[in-house]
Amino acid sequence: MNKKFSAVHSLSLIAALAIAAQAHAGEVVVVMGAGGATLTKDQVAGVYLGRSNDFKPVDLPESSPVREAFYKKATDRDPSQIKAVWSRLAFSGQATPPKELADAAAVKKAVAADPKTVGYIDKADVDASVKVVLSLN
Amino acid sequence: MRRLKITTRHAATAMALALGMAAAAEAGDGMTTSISGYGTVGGTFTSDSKFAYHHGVDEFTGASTTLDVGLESRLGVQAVFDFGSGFSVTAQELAKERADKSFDLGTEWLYAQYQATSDLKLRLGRVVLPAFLLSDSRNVGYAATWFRAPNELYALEPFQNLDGGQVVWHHGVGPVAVGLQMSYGTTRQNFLVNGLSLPSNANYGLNESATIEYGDFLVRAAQTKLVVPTTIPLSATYAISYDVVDKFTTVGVQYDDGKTIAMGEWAKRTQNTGPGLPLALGKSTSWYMAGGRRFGKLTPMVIYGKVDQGLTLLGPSGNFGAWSGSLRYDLVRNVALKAQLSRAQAADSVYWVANDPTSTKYVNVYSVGADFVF
Repeated sequence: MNKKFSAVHSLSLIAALAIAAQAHAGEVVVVMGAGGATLTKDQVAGVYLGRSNDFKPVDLPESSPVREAFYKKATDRDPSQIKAVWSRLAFSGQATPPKELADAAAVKKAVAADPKTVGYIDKADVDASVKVVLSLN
Repeated sequence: MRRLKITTRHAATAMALALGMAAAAEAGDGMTTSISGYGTVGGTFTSDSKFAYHHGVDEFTGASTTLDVGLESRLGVQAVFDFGSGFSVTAQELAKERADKSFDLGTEWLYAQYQATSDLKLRLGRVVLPAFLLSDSRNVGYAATWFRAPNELYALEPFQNLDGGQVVWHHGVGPVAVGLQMSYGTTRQNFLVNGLSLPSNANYGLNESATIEYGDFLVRAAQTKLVVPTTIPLSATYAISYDVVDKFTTVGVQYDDGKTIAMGEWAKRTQNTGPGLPLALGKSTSWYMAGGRRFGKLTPMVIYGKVDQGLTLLGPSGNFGAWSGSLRYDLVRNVALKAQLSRAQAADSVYWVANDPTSTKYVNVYSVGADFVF
């Protein structure tokens, strides 16, 4: 094998992996049903921090890296801070935490079925059943 | 910790919960049930055996130089039964040390709620008395940055719930949310005043509060009026009875952008004087300010509180300030470890089971604990 080719090959492979990793951690989108209008980051943060009851938020499981990335980008808060916020709201009877759904497919199904429901998924999981109302990069 | 006392009332509540859960399981899709809980395991001691720290006059003994693991420890369970069509029942049971230091189960809240619109909730039953910025979640340590809310305010209102009704209105438009709340009901609590245990029943309590949220800012104002029939023994054979009309006003502000936390709260208490008496039983103005900053999993916070105690039938006037430093460490997603050091005057009227108005020294309160939710 040509040594020079091998080096270039390895470099491009590393670059491709780096881009793929970045894409995976970075591209979270907020989705609603087909009729959903574009939302701002503040609106989404308001819904997911329990300040606004304009929409019904749904969550991915706590173990999902997409969930952690979503909250970091949309609200600038860690999982434990989000837990603290919802503990205050839930134990004071002010609001119920977002319903936790199993995966992106379940989120898409939920938002497609109800125009008030809002969810977030990895950009790679977007299909024609949902509309992207906010991209978080 | 010492004993778990279960009275008929608690048993009835537990039975109602059990029935509710059974009904929920039967109802299937029509009804959803969610059970969650919170708790704290903590220990506290002070630097002086003569001064025992307590959270307020509803705690009769308190922690002094021997490590006390009961005072700060508590366990709460909440069940929400959602019947659909806007109807739900919320029950919250809390086990903690009360009055005479027995570990005791009590019903914090038990109310039926009808959500008339997405903004309007009507509640009937035992509801929170929302006198303070953090009344709603004062027992949920995990929700707070500090280990313990400042005594300067939170020791001043021992009544914590009302048996009656509550109207809650909350409306959000973009980053702005406005909330209005009105609560009415009766309440009761045992106080320890100058070494005497006084069971107090409020004939009625009325609370109005307004909240405005703008992004990471929150401002809240509340007014509480309680009418408490009171008997003051003036001698072995003579006592005066009258209705104490207690007015308690609070204003609180909070900022939390996820990194920086800043908050402050102010409270003023006024009361009428009884017939022929020169002074009221309560009069004070107090405030605190707190600031914290998050560094990854670690959140240190500094708190300063001040009480301006007016001259009352129960004690002399005085001005007291206290510093606290607290540290929160987010261990795992559901558990936070905390430590707090408070330094208050021995003469301070709100920190100790029995203060010493003539003393000029300071006493430290050391606390460590773990807050959790499940």
